[in-house]
Amino acid sequence: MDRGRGGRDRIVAAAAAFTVLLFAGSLSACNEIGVPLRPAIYAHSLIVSDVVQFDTTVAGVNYFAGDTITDTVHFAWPPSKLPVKIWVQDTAGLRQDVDRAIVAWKNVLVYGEFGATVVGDSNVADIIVRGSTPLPLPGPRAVERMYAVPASCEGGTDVFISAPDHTKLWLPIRVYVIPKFPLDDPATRPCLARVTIHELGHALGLFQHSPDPNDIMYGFPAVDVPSDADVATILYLYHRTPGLRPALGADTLPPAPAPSP
Amino acid sequence: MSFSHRELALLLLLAAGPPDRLNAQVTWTGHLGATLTSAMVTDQVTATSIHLKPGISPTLGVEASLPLRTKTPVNASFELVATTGTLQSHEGGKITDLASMRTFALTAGISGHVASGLSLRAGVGFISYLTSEKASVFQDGVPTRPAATLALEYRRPLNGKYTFSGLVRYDMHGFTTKQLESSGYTGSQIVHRVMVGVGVSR
Repeated sequence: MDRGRGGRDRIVAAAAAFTVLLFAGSLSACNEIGVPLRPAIYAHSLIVSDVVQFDTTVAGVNYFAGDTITDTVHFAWPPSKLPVKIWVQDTAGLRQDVDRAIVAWKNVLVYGEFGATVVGDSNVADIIVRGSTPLPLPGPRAVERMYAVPASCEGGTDVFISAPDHTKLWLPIRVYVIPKFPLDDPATRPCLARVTIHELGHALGLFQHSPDPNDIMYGFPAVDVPSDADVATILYLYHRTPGLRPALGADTLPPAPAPSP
Repeated sequence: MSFSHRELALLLLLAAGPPDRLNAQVTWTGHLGATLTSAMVTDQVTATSIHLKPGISPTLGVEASLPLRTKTPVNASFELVATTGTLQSHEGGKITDLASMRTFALTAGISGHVASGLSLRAGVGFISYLTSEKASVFQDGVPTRPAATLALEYRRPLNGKYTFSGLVRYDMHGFTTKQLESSGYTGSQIVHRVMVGVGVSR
């Protein structure tokens, strides 16, 4: 009986020693997860330029008629606006492409920087995605359009920036994804899918095209998912000082002041 | 030498609840408390660091212990500890809620008295994460990871049947997820958790 108890004691001691060694080994091991090597980012800010129409003051800053105001602006959806509300036109499988585009960007923004939900009412949407043909003409001043024109489809994203202060981005952002050929053309559907990711990238704040064809934000997108450079750029964008702040739609635009007598 | 088949069988059965005739030997302890968790992911994108971790999490623990027939009086112990909380991103003083999360840590170990009223428990097992939202680092699923635990417990008899228990419990595991791995993160981050709780033993 005593021999049996002695054996059990040894087992218990060994188990305790094993646990202590496990703790010691874990504590001495590298403590933090290895983050991915991130390549250099590409330019993502937008250069906007407006001629002041009337003498005006915005947020304490005076603007004088005739002056040209040029700013470099950047935009990222603030946490208070998440999830971003997206309305999608029911055409050409656009809803599925938008769903996949949301997932593609959410997958690379693991710190919760982005979330989106598709809504049924375009009046409450932050982003409106249409498959209209042809691409409508750009709107009035202060509208910046970014194009993507691969072979089989094309896309455009219009952002509306307050002028002349360039501090607000008027919602909704308008996105267009349009096939150039019939949908049963084998190249059309993949093109629409990747251009939707590309245009949503613009709507997320990547306001310029990458110079690298391996990036989804290249002007003629040829890859199907965001690349390491895309990820590095959008991560940088979402972790820098906030730039443009989103503001409610055109109906809330301040009326133009009356011209001076 | 090894444990008898009877002892091993009894230990295994404890998880599901022992038969009445063993209840006299099994001590059941329930704890309520709170758990503080270290960063599960640490990163740096711009000048500021990003830490993902849950806030202070309400915690429920249940332990079953059974005396072993050893010269030194020690107990075999099985413990299930559950926490519930919200995964948060901490960046430059800004805290963003990312997803609700729960953890379940199941460990087996040994415990023994170290001083009057004080006992020490060491154990190894697994910790599983659960979430109802496929978000943030849990977009591709939740992990189950090996874990190790140490606990210091103070017991004081309340009456003939129940004992008050105060507990400081520590555990650690390496954290990563499929989402992190597919995003190029390598290895795992050692996560430390400290629980303070009170409970009752029977």
